[in-house]
Amino acid sequence: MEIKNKKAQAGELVQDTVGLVIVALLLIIFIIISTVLWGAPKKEIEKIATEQITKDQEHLSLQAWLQKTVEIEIEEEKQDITIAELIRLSKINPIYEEILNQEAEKSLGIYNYEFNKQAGSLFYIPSDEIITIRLEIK
Amino acid sequence: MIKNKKAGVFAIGLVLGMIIFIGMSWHAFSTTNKNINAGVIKTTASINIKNMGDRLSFYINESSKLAASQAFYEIVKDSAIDKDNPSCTVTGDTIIWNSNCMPEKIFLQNKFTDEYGKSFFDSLKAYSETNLTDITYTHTFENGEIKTKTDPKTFSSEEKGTFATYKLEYEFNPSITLILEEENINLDSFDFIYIKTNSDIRECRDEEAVDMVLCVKNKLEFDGWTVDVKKQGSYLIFELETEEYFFFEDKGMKFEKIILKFAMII
Repeated sequence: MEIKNKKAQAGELVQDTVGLVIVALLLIIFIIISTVLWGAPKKEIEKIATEQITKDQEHLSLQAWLQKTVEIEIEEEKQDITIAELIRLSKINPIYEEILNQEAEKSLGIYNYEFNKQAGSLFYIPSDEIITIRLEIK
Repeated sequence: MIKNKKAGVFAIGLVLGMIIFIGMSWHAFSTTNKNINAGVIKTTASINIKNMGDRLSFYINESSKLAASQAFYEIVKDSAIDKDNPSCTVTGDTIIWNSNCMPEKIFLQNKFTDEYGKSFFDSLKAYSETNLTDITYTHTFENGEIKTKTDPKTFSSEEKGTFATYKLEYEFNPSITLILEEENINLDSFDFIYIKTNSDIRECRDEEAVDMVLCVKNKLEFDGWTVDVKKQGSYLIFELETEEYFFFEDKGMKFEKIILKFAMII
């Protein structure tokens, strides 16, 4: 009788141990899954934030650049005009494209300017076209 | 048996506890993520919409300057007079200024406002990022300024996040005031040009000047204009050129000095 009880006690101990191991395993799996699920949105948020910072920097740099005043020469006369006007002028007369490129090289640093992109600042040139300009990292 | 019952209750309790624990954890996880996601999307969307406002503001500002240049050109092209005035005649292809056909302040201000409005609206029609033509604009000329007033326009932006879609609304007021002096435009100058030219011709006539062209040319000086005078029969032909360059459209876009041409009897 005592032997039987001892056997039963040992069986119960094994049963409890196995139960505990299963519960521990379940918790570990849950923690792993949670970590993986937490990681994905974090990465997505980081990606969105980085993209947003880049876009915002491009936007601010473009706005500042467009309003910058430069001195150009027209028919041997010096004239102060903004980059926005120089861009418009370069569309009227291709001679000014070279001056615009030089100005961009001088003041845009890490950026290049590009025309005809979906996003960017727009200009109106009557009877001609709408120009869209944006900055892009070199 | 009693022991087994206890064990059964304990097991059920354990399972229920686990379910509640996992459920609460999942709820906390999704709520937190939803909040973080909402925060990021909201910030992103508000920056995007602010940038859109900046672009629009820049476009309206540039369009306003362009419209003012164009309106100024339209006035100068017609020698700053009312072409429908039956008292106005020409010598060759030049309008003759006299007491019945001369620049008039009110007419010039009204014409400037009309031409400005037309050109400004043309540029709004071309804007592709959003529709700007569904708003009513009123332009008024006041103390050398052109004021464009309108009701605010509401823009909405929809951003899709992982857990929800967020809608943001932004109110933008496209009203603008342009100081014409800053654009080198002075509508009062035409009135002054007529009075000064008329009195200088009279003075030269009274002085019985041998060379009327030289006499008048030496007397005339206007801020912002360079003057050229020629004689054509019994008229003096005046060509005044702006010292500054202007953007205007006349068979294509141009960036040139604008020439005011008129004739006056000697």
